[in-house]
Amino acid sequence: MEQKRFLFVVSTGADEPKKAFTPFYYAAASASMGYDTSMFFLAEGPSLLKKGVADELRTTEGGEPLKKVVDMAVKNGAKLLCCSTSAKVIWKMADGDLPEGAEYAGAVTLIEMAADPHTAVFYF
Amino acid sequence: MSAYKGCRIPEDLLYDVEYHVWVKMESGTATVGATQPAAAYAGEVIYIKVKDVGTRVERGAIVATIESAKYMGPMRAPLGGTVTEVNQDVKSSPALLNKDPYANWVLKMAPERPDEETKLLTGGKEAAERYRPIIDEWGVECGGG
Repeated sequence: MEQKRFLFVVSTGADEPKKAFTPFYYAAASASMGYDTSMFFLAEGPSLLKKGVADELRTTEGGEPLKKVVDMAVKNGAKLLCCSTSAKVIWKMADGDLPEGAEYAGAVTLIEMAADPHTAVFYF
Repeated sequence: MSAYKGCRIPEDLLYDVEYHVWVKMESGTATVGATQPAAAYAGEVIYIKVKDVGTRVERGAIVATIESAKYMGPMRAPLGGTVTEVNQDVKSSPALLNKDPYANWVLKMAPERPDEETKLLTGGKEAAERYRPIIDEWGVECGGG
């Protein structure tokens, strides 16, 4: 039986910190349950991956930084993919600006992943 | 018994310090639970999903998933084998892991290669030493029993 996969598409950005934590937490959950898990950041999403942003972004004053859930998702095995067009055109990110382990990808990659019948897609 | 910042590491158990689990071997059965520093790091556990009885896992495979308000992570099997029993008390009241993670085991297994794989585990004294820098790095202090 082919393994179930989860794909979290993240268009929420650093301008909505209360919503930014959720996809990382759910990706951490599916990865910790042993499911193949990917996160794809587009539109506002790449702003969460910009250097230093996750260290500073908090849901509440004095709360845990976003980096904690980012690290948790990555440690549990979630793969991070970032739309290169959004990142480079909108957010002026360079090749070395992504967190360790994250990669740039394009629209074709996302469509291929979403087209897989064994993949459940969540949109944040 | 060794304790550091309130976190106990009983000497009579075996540990996988990488997976943060303890193992007690008794007449061919391995009882498995979470270590106290790991439970403290997770915070109050609100949900635990454990693989069903009869599930066969390799060493290192995910055998349970632990969720708290600020943590979500896998519990990995310290030994390859088959799940033979799940602690229903812990399933229904997962915060028991925070209260006393050594009394409140998570699951029991019938290990397939106990002689070979228990050699990969760490004794209590050494585990206590290895946990000190981890406890410092995590910034945890353990309460409870």
